[in-house]
Amino acid sequence: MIPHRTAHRLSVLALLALGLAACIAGGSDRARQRMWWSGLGPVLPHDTFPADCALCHVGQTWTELREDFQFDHEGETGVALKGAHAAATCLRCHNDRGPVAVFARQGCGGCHEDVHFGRLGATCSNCHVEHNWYPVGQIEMHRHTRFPLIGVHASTSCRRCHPGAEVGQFVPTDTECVTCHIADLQRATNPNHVGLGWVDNCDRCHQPRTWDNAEIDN
Amino acid sequence: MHRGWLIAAIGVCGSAALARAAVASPQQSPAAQDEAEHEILELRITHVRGASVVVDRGTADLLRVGDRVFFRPRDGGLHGGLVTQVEERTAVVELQGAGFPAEPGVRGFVRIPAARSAPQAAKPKRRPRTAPAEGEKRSEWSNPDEEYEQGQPLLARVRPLRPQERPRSYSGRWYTTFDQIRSTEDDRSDAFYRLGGSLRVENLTGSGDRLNFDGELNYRDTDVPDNQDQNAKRFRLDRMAYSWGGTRFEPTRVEFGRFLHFGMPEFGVLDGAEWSTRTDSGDRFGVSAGWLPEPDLNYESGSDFAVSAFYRWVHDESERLSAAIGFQKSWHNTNADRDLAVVNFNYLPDDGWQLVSSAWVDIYTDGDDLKDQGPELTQALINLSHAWSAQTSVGLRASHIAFPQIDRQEFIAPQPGDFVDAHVDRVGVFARTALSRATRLRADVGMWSDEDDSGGDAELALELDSAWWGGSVLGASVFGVNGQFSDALGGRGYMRRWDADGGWSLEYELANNDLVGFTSQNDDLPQHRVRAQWDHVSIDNWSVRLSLDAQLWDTEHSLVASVHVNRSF
Repeated sequence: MIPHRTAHRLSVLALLALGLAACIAGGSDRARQRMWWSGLGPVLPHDTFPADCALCHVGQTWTELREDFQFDHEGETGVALKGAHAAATCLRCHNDRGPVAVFARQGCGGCHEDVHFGRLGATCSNCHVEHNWYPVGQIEMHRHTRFPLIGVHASTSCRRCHPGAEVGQFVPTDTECVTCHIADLQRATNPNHVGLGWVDNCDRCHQPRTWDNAEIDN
Repeated sequence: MHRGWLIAAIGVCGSAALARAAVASPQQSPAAQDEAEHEILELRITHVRGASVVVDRGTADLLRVGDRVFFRPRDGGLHGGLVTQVEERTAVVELQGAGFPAEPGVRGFVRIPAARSAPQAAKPKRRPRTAPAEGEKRSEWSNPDEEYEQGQPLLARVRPLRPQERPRSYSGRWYTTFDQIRSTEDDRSDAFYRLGGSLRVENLTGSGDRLNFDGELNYRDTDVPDNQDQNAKRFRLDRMAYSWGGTRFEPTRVEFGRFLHFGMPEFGVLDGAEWSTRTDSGDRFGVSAGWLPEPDLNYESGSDFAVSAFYRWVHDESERLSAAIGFQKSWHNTNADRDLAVVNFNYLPDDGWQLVSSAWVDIYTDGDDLKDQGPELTQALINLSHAWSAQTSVGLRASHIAFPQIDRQEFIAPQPGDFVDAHVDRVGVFARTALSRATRLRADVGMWSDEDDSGGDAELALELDSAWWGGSVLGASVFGVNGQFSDALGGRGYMRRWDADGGWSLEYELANNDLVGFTSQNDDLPQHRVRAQWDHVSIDNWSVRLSLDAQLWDTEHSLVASVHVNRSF
């Protein structure tokens, strides 16, 4: 048994310990000023660029590129810019927030918010396309779960089972029928399911073909 | 051959003065005579492509196919190559001999025959440069290399622009989506309309700060029997936040408003503030406080107050190896609710391996009567993969999901009798490989287990590129599922094509579902599915998608029609 008061103290202690550890680590001698973070060099790595700056830059402000500026990102770096990335300005990825190689290594989550809180894995392209981020393939994906979508479930709005679908939250989700169909159960009066104690194992009589009719198991 | 290398060596040594003196003398040495007949053109490798390299000189510099190039790596030696392709500003050089550590930045030179530059009229024109306007002064380029050290990136010592020297920028998108579902079963229908947009203002006040808006208007019209119709309009504000710092010039970062936690996104969206800072070693730590909106279509806030802290350790500047720990405590309507600890561990080396893992531990106290007191692992995720190339990879995904006992509305909770043990564990492996240049094979196998049952699934797919049209993909797969309420065996065929203007796809799937618990007379549910999709993307960042998805089973069928329009800026 962990009493409430003790639990609260433990929580406060945990927060304080995290803060203390942070301060110790932050002030340790192992810390050293590193090249990128210390502000050296431009945000875009120029290691492989031609030495003639005027090929790309106009003037000496560094912020203005030539009107005819073109860069074959895949050819020069080996990284293809797909979908909406192809039209993005350079500074969307190459900026002061960190070395782009670090972010690229982390995949989509290196630059984009993971609105799924990490719960759906690190490979966003399993569900999303890069030109408009519209999700596709959810019915196919349910073939790799314990609840493949069949019958009426395959043409039901996602939020009927995942109330957080609009904001990217899909788990945890319970697959027991009554979890989602509790209102249907309470409405079932012919016969009166609740009155008869038929409140679980709906699949003894009902199949997910339709919402209504029970199938008698011969 | 030896003479050529000797001449090259003279060029490497940069003994231009000596050579010029020799040129001036009445009796020239062979080397000096050669120097007089050639001009040394310095160049640098910009890209390595197997046995060839790309250099930063081209026809504009009088380079020609067949010219011999000499490279001088920093660790010494002299290596040769032949120019095989030339463009205005670049050229491809095929390397000769083995053992040359070709890498971007390595310098080299070419001896250009002096006669080649004699007729200036034949020299290719450089790109026109805009002449300075009258009265306008342009200072000379100043990029002294004196401070350059080996190992530093080119331009490493160039002073980077500060945020206050950069202009403000705007980016974002707006989109609209309309989904219509119609089902013959009781004439059910569901219409869902979304109009959303996001706006991101970078460098709002010239201090590297950011303003972020994201919101969506929803309209839903659901028509079902039993008087359960729904007709609702809602506006949901997903993000409205101001952040400052967190750049290489300012290690401390502050964000307030409605935003997703920056340091540890697992803690969710917050109506409040977060402070974090980066140490000199690259570690980051921070704290936050505020209200947690309920993660559903309404995003109602004000009931759940939370404080949290995190620490993220990185092994080195590359952040290939990192670990993070965080703790969040929340109160629901002022009553203590959730004590959540999150631990993350990532290993992302450059050799194709990738490990991303996360564990959520809920700590229960005597107020949590449905669960045993103490810690419970409510979520664990492991993604481990290795890619040999873009086409060939293997991976493992493992997960454990349980239901934490919380007062806050986050999910549809199982019935109290099932709540304690409700969970699902899953382990899956996948493999992708290219059988040939145009053929790929994909396999997925998984197993799951929950409090009542266990099962698995498998899928094998074959894809063929450009079967009928260039840019098309023809695919077929077979799959089997051992689910909780149904088993299935089926196949899927699809064709899709994509180019710069968009694309289309067609898909047909047939599966025979075997309903668990019923006898053979009425346990089969064959289901057909046909899906068609058309996409158009334009160069000015418009995209349009139309799709139709039809399902047929028994005597029923349903149709899902979708329109999605997106414009990014």
